[in-house]
Amino acid sequence: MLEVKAVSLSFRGVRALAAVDLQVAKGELLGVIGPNGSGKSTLFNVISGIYRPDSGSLIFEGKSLVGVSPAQIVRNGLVRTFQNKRLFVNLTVHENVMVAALKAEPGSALGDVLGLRRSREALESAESRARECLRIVGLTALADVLTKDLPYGAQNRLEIARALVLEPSLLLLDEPAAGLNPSERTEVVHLIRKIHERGITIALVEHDMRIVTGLCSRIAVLDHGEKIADGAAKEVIDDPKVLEAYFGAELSGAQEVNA
Amino acid sequence: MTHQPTIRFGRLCAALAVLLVLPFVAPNYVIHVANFVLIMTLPVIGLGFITGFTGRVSLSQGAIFGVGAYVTALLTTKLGWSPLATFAPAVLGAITVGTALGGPAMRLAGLYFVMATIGIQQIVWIVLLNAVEFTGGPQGVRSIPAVGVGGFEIDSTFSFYFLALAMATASYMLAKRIIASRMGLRLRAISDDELASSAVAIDVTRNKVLALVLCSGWAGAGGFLYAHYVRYIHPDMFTLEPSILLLTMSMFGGYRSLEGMLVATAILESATEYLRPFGEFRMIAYGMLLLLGMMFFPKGVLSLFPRRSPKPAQLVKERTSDA
Amino acid sequence: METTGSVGMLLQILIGGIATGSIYAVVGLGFTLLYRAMKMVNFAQGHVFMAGTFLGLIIANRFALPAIPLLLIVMVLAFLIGVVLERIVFRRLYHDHDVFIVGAIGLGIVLMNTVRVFFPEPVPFPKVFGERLVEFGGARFQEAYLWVIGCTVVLVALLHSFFTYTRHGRAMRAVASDAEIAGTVGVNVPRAIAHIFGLTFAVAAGAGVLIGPLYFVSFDMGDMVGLKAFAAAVLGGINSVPGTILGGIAIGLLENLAGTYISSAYKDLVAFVILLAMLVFRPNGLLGTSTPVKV
Repeated sequence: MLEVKAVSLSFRGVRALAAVDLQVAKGELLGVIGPNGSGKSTLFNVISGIYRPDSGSLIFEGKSLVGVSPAQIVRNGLVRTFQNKRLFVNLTVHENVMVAALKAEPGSALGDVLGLRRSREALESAESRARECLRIVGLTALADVLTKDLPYGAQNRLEIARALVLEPSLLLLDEPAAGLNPSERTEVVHLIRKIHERGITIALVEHDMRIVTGLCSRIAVLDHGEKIADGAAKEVIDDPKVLEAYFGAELSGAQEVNA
Repeated sequence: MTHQPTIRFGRLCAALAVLLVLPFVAPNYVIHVANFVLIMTLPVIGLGFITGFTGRVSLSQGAIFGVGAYVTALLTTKLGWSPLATFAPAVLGAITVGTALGGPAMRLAGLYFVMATIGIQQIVWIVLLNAVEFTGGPQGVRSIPAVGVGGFEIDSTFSFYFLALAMATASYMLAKRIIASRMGLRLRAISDDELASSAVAIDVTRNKVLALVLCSGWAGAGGFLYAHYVRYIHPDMFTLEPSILLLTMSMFGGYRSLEGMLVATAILESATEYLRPFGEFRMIAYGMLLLLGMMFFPKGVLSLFPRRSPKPAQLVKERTSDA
Repeated sequence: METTGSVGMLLQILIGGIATGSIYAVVGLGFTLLYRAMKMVNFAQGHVFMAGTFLGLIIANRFALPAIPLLLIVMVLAFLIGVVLERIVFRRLYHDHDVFIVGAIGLGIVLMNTVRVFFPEPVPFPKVFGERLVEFGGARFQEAYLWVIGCTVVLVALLHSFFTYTRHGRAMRAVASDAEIAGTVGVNVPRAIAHIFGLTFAVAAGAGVLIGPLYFVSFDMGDMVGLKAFAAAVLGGINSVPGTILGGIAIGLLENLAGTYISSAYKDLVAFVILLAMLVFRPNGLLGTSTPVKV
């Protein structure tokens, strides 16, 4: 579904991504892991059109993504969430999802102003889709709260609801469980599983290994902008290269001895 | 603007009732000042779409207002058009100049954007001042006719009031509806976070340019009204100074409150008119007002009134999570 | 000024352009210094420049001082005023960009109109740089022009040495690049900020004294000069000191050339067209650097 080939990106001489290859098959739940600064979020930024790669290709459902605007990429069905929760803080919870829900609706602002029927129906349809997504993530009770007043766990769920309503075929989740307490984490895992069961392909960046191994059948590992491993979850977490990336050479050697 | 952007018809009717009675009971000078207030609400509302929504400070509104005024003045005096026929050209002319010059600047970050608008303001003013064959140069344009509606000439303070009130009211209602529309929602999202906006499929540039179109159009409409009230315009009416005054009015009402802007316009514009005889001291007072206002009330006058919005604690008794 | 020959005229235009350009450069330095320190633009800068001129005028009319002492006194006074104003006014403004902009505009209006009360008409400035005419390559101009250029060079050199070699100057640079870290290594950050403001005032006021003898001075000259100095800073790169200086001189030259050879009416247009074009096509200016934003 998504094919990332030999993608490289540098910022003023510092290499962020080096010839990264990645495939995401339709319907899978892929995990992307790696130590801090390994380029995971940068990769997502490139895929979602925020950064243009210096070289390489990005093909999504047969069409190239390079040079396409982020808004257009979303319209094509590739949606991402942000690691640092970019919510619209001065809008209510409901409005956050609503503004995304309007993506797929016909009608225009002019139609809204004039009260045209097509626009009214579009707004109603967007409203009900927004409410449905809020229900799925469990935020219905907080719908009219200003986002800046939301507690952290609810913000995470709002970010997901907003991504859901965009009707993605591929969803990139950037650290959806960051900063959550254990019970909230369980809920997020539950939520991600539910979304996956609806047929949405997911690529997940996460630091919490239990979440990644619990959800993902396949894992890709990045380190210093390069992909160092890619395969079945069980094999990847025992891969000495991966252990070295996370823990350093000595410890991975110790791991070998004990294994 | 506020996240309850519906028109409260009760309050609107009450306000209109008061405003309709005003010209019958107030002295002529008060109505004259009121006319200026009503005229200025148009460029202020337009400016609100830029300051309140895309969160930028624009200092070119005075110039675009002037473009609207000049278009109608020149078409009526030089080509003999009827004033009403020049309304659309005035608005379109303002939109053209405003978007041609301001459009490329819309992608600039806040500080650079202000600088660009200053550039625009000065360029337009210099052109108005120097293109003598075209605009009359520093002499300006005289003997601008009054607006005529079906044989009736709106050439008195009293009759003009109703025209201005009608346009101001129409502007208010139109602006409210735009804010309540999907465009208003998108603009509010853009002013919160542009990157996130593009991540939810909002075409940020297009919406910003549309906001600019609205801003310029309203400035042009205001210029039209102004020209047919004062009946004589010249370039020094459209300098950086009125741009600053307009900006103040749109900021002092609180960034996103349309009602706040109108109140601020009423207060500041009437102060400007009443204090006009005092020359420099008026401007010193104005400057102090700006300075002290920013030092002590940076969030606008209406920030003194707390907004009502539900807090999470009140709503969540137990967390509901759907299976 | 009488001239002989077109070379002479060209030279005159160049010297005049470099002189006014130096003024724009010096005022522009004030913008640059503040921008580097606080990422803010002080829209009152032009009016501070104008106030400096009138301060110099008042002092020069009272005490017949030669040029350099007058310049120094005005600059020191302006520095002190700047420090005081930072404490009581600017400190309450620079927490927010837009607030700072509008507040500074208010301050500018107050300055301009206060001067207007006392000096409603343009007035001549005492010729503190002397009145001799200099002849050079067929051109004739007042020696004041050379003084202006000379003082600008000295001023920039002094500022450069200050920031590079003195401890206090380096402390201020530290605050300019990262106030938090500067604080942790023991720099008195609030005081450094106050001094930075003081310096921008001193620089603007100094430019005011320099321009005085060249033209008649009037309460409304701050607007235009301020905006053009601003255009100069943007042209050269608002966070680059050499850029601002080059920008100022470039604008001064281009303006003068356009004014003579194209049309004197549209002379003022040059600076603003440059400003707008730079902002749209190359906001970092010719020599400026941009900092990437992390997503």
